[in-house]
Amino acid sequence: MTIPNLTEIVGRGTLRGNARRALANRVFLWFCLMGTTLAILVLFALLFSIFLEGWSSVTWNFFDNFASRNPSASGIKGPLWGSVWVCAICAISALPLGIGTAIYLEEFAPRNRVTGFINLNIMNLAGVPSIVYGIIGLTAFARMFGGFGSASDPTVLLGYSYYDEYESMEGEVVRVKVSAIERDGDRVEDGVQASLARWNIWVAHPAPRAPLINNTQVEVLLDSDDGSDVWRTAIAHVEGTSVERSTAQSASFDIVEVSAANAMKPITQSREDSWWSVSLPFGSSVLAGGLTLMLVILPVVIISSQEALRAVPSSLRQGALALGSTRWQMVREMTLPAAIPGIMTGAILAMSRAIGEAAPLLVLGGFLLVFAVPENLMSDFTVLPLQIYNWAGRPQASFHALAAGAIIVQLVVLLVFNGIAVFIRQKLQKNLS
Amino acid sequence: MTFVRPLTQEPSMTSPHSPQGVPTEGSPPHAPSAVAIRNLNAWYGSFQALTNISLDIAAQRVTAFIGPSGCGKSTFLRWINRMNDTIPSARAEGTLKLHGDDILARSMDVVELRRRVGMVFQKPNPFPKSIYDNVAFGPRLHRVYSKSDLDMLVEQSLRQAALWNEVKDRLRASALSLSGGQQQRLCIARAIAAGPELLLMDEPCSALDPKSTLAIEELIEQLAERYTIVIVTHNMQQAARVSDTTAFFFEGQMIEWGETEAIFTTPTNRQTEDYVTGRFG
Amino acid sequence: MSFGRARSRRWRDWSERGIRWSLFGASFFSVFVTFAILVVLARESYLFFGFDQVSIVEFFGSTEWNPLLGGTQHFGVWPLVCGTMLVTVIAACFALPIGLTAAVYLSEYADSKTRAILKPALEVLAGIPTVVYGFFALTAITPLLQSISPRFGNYNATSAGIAIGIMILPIVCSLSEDALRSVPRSLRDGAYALGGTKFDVSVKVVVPAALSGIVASFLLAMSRAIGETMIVALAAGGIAQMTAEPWAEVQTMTAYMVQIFLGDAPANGVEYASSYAVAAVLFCMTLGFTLVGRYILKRFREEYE
Repeated sequence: MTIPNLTEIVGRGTLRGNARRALANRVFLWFCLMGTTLAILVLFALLFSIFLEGWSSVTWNFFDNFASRNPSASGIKGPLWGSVWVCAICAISALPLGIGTAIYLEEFAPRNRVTGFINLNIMNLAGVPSIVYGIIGLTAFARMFGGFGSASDPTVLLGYSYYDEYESMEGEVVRVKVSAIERDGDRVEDGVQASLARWNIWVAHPAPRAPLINNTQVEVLLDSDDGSDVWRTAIAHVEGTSVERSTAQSASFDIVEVSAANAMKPITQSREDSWWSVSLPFGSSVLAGGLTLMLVILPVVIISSQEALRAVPSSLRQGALALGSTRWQMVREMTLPAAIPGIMTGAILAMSRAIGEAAPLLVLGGFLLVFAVPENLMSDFTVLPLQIYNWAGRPQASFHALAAGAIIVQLVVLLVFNGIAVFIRQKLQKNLS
Repeated sequence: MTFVRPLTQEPSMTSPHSPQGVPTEGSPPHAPSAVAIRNLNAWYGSFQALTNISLDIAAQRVTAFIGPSGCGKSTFLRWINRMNDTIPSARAEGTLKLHGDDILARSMDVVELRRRVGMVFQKPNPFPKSIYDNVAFGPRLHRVYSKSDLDMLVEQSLRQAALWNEVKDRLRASALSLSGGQQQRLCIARAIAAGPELLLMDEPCSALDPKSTLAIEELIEQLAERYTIVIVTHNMQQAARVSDTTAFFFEGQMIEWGETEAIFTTPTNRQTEDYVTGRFG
Repeated sequence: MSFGRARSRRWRDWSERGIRWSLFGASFFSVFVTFAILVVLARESYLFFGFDQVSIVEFFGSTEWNPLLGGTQHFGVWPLVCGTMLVTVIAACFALPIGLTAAVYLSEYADSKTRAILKPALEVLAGIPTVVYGFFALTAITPLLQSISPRFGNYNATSAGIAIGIMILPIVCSLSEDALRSVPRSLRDGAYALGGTKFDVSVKVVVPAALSGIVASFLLAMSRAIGETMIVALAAGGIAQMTAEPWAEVQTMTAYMVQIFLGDAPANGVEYASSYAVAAVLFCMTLGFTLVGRYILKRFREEYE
């Protein structure tokens, strides 16, 4: 049997085929270039159109004003600071948790099914839509599963200071700090300090003209301006241990008890919050927003930190262990410093994602118009993407211009974050390699 | 340009010279030359990998390239089918001709060249496709589409590669299900199916067990009846067993070449003798 | 001496153990989050189905979604799912071919200089907040579509679909490129040695060899598209209907949730609870896509070893 000449068979169409294939090669190259160019062109079209529409909005006032119904007086001060607060809280909560998780999974966890399960779980969390996290945040942080009352009627309050304000005999306004609120506004006081500029307060007991002795119990009369008397029992603090009332320059009184019969409503009640005041449930506050965003970016932080840790060569680890360090010492001295650039890059990229998230915060609070900068953890807030959403959703073109301006600010922030991440990646990578 | 070349009657050099200018005894018989190389120099960037290589590769014979690692034999092999084009920093100068066609010329159609010159690699690299599709890949590339042609090509190639009987019942199975030795034979079949004149083999047995190595060496002997074969090998015994002509390379230069028996038993050059007797390398 | 060493060793052991446990606690938190998601969604959905107006049969069987307070309320979930899928399919038709093509170009053709520019550009593109795409859809894409054909309303599925496609393009491109680059060089060499052009090698060998990774990237991208909220809230509309017309106004699952949570529905009413049920469906869908994608990656990864 003659063996067919393979060369002949294969070569039958080859010459024409080669030319055609070379053509196909070039056509495909053009096709790829077109596709990539199309993608880039679209991006530029997007950016350019937004820039065109929005650049006129970005003025100094833009950063100073709050949102308002009048487009020309609107600004992004509220959303901008809201974003700052929310992202700060998010970073403080997400980064330690995420990096700690990554360290545990990569350095300490045994390679068994439990660890595999945790890893799989994190992968799944990374794929959950951010709006679902918003719902979880709403239920778990804002409402706290209904276990602590509702937002307008919180059960636990920490860090708040309440004051009664009175007018003294000489017409001075006196603020007396009280400790808690009851629903209808009556105060219950105990152990608070009243500090008065001048003690022109009648002291009833002991006798009005008796000397004021330090740390003794007295009754003080505070006037309300409808002429009724308000008496409080107080501990007097005076300079010197015993001094004539007429010669004492000032005294302060620790109110210890209210005499029920004479308790009257003060003129006004005011509240001062320290920056760390917290009420449970959190309600639609910056704290809840930050924690919700933490949920969103936690998987991202974990995964990128894991990759950074994995990239550290095992020779580094072996060297440290061989010298007799414990696992944690090895991690702290060797692995972590080597992985820091990667971890930081991942963290910055995660934060840049957090800044742009709107959906979870929308579900959480739904605050679209906020007229103040957040003052403490429980403040209402809005973030820049939400403001963009708000303005973009209006039919008037003037609001669209505002939205475009806000987008420009948002994108600048994004570029800055990305730039920092790239810079860190390149600079510190060079140091280590 | 026709693609099927009759064997040229181009005479080879009658007395091949080593670079030192000493005429080598035992020059190969007056065999037609498939590949003629004169003064070939090659670089990777600024590193010169090959210096003034000149030799003839006889048609339908097995030529072996031997030498220690890094001496340039693989680089040389890869220039014959211009595989070094995939490395941006590689360039070559000199004369390199396949049956009279200048390989290094810019006008040379590299795609056609690679159909004429088949290559088998050190580690078997079958595509993650079926056995049939692996072998048929080359012909399909060169526009053989009819099923009957392809079936015949596949069978012939697998027969020539001594693999047909083992796989004829499972041509649709994945190529990766074969053993290492079988995969290498599949790669040989794949290279054959494109209808080449010349087969280049870059250490084809170094990743295989001894039994598969033996099978492939027997296969090479059979294939030599039909194809010109150039084999790069680390294994001197293999070169001695399998090849008709041997060329010894060292540090980018070709030190000596000639009939295998002569090279191994009566090498002219001192370095050659040291290498083949195992004093280094 | 030895006492001191023993004591410091004990302290070291305890602190080591303490750190180990706190790190474990940190990682346990992630499990807890999943648990919380499951519990919240399950519980609220259970409450939802407890309402009189709602039945599971209707939820999964009916094609009418009409939760308006006051009229007769219908709670068939399919219009919302249909809206989501319509937008997602449009996005996929846009993003998958272009993304894969760009990935092939980046991996097989582009030189290192081009790649050094394009890859960071892709990263930036991937980080753009989705509201920006929503804004673009509303102010640029919709008018463009309307100039092509007057059938496109002010809110339509195509506008949102294209915007979502742009959004997921970097994901497809980047993940597919990773898959393509992980194909070993020896396969490419073998194909070149047989006389393949770059096109032959890329399309006939490399892409098929990387197929599992490419498919996984498609699935992950579509999972992102399904869960996208801001773009559809701005551009797709608020009418829940079963339709396959790309110019129609549709409401996706995510847009419905936004509508409820922004609105005045009382917190213990049936409309509010319906939002949780929709969220549960959404969660299951994205989870399904993610799991299938990872399964494909794992199962078929050994392809070329």
